[in-house]
Amino acid sequence: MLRAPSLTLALEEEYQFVDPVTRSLEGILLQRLTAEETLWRTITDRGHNRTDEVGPPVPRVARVADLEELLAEQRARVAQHAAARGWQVLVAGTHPFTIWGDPEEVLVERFRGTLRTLDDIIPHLLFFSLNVQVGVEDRNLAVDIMDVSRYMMPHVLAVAASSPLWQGENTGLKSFRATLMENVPRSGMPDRFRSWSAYRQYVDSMLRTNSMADETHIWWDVRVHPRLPVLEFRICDANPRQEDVLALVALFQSLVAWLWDLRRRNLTFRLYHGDLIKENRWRAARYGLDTNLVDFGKREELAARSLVRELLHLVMPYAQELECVRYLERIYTVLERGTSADRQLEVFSATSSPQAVVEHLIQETSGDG
Amino acid sequence: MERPSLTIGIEEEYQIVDPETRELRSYITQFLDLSAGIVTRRELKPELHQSQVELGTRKCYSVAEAYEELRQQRRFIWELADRQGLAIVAAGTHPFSSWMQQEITPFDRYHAILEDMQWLARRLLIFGMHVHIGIENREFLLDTMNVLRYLLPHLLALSTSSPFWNGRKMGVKSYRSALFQDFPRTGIPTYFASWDDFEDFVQTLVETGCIPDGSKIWWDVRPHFKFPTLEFRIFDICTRLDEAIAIAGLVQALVAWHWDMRQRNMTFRIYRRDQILENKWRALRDGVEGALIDWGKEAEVPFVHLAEEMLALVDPYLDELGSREYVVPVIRRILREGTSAERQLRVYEKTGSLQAVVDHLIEETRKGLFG
Repeated sequence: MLRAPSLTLALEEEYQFVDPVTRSLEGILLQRLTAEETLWRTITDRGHNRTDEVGPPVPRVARVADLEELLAEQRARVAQHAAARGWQVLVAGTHPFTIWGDPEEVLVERFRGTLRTLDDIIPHLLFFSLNVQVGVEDRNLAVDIMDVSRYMMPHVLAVAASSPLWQGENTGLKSFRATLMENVPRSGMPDRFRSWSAYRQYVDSMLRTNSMADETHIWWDVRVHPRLPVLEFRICDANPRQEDVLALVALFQSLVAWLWDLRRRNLTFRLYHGDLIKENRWRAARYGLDTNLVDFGKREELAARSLVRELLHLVMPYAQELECVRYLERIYTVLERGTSADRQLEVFSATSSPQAVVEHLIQETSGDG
Repeated sequence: MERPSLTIGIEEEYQIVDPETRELRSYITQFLDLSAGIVTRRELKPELHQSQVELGTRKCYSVAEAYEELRQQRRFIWELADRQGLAIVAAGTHPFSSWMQQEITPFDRYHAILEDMQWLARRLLIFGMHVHIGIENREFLLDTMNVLRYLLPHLLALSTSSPFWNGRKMGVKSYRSALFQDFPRTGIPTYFASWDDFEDFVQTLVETGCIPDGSKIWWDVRPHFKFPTLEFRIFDICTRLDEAIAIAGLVQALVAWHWDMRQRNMTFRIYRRDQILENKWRALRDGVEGALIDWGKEAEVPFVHLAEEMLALVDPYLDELGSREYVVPVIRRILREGTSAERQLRVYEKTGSLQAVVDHLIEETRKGLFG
């Protein structure tokens, strides 16, 4: 019998350390979960690159409420860690103005193969993600849910956008990070796989042909983790407000629970052409919530906000079961009041100052926003 | 099923360059005014950036005809520029002119693109070549698209001409290909099960307001939205006329090869888009000097060997198509001596000057047009 997914939760956040006076980016802290431990890496623009112990391994937890505590503790530790170096912490999809070195150079370095891992690329392009892991132990089930859940990734991105500014300019996009990501090999929206063996075959052929050094070098918007028994959602920009982060976690957990339930009833959400999903991904990256997304079932454009509401309605019964409704409901507030990207743009249009946006992000990150 | 006509049409996007400063010159609106008075069957097509001009040949029935036609076309635009004291460059990017300084063509549709694509569109100062091959049967056209996707990276490697961008050596052979990826609906298309499947895809995008029509699909290969042609768009524009023609001839012969296989109930294997993308990255980085993955063998193979294999595949069709002399010696020369990208890099290595690279490009673009 098909094993029920545990739906345990874990998340990875990427932190930015800024100078309290100039507001420019001084260091970044990457968090990576492995089977045994949490890896931390501090990188500064002078190429300093060291592993810091910022906290204990993050245990997988059953409920969003458990994660809430862990996240608050983690952010407090990170803030201490930063303060010890005279820095402040912010979490967002991009830094509003700092560039380290030459982004254009990096866009090609990745082709030269010198920057092989995402952690090598991030310090150059400076985009930051929130990655959420949901425990799905059966590998075939995980691939099935990955195939199906691709459809909802643009909807989530519209809610999770937090990178409108880059190099001090308004890029005109709500999630510039999402388009930058597509420049990284094996990123963006994956094509459909159908089975674990097809997925494994793909990974093996990439390894055999020296196309990637290691099986973890796949960074799609959603992926079956090559080593951990989890489905990993990588579509979100890193988000400053903890309640927004937890809302997204709750959404992913209930989404997986819903798709699992459909599966048990011999149902599935329909599968669409990857390129159709990409249209919605583009719209979400460009306009965030202020656009229509396409409902490919009805074949019509509908307001992103109403489609997100529909998604919330679909997963709400599962959120109830998982006791994460109060976290999930935060998304209604985002629909009304806007995303992190919207708030950053408000500050930017009021002040024309990317420094002011940094200040705003620091406040939101620390919970004073 | 009727044999496809295998007609050839070539569109190219040229740079308008000031031979004194060697910078791109925003001049297309003046060109349009100038040519309005001239009786000509050539349709100048403006592009987003004022310093860019697109021209397309008529439908040609042989590679020899396409050669003559493309030569006339390049001469036409050369002379139009020359009369204004300007020059034409055929290369995928300008070595140093900055995209931030370019004027946008003052037509509504370009402002609409700019509005839609924002930052991404302004950067898109790139120049390509599109090769149309006439395939009248739609099912076969789509089948050919599915199959020949595999060879797109190989074809790109033969055409690279954009090693510089914004005044810098980018360490790749086709920076144009890297830039274009930021756009939606670009790159290697996915597999379509049938013409209906494809048409339904386009129809869905149109009905749902994603695109006004099929012309806004910019994949590396696409069924043309109007003509009964399969349009190969992966190429950097070739600086040398004979290289453009050799590549167009190779594409035509590949379609003939696929048609012949089809008659024999054979086909080339279909691979995942991810796998083709991996090769595209290699091709844009290393061009003819690199190694691509042979996905049948699952091994890295030097590009030169793969290109020879490709020539062997089409060899039986070249005489019938009358294209052997245009294709084989030129492709072999590219394999031996490199593409425009390698030549540009050699000039830069020798002189350390990007102005010298532009001079070299002007000279090479002109070569073979007159006399």
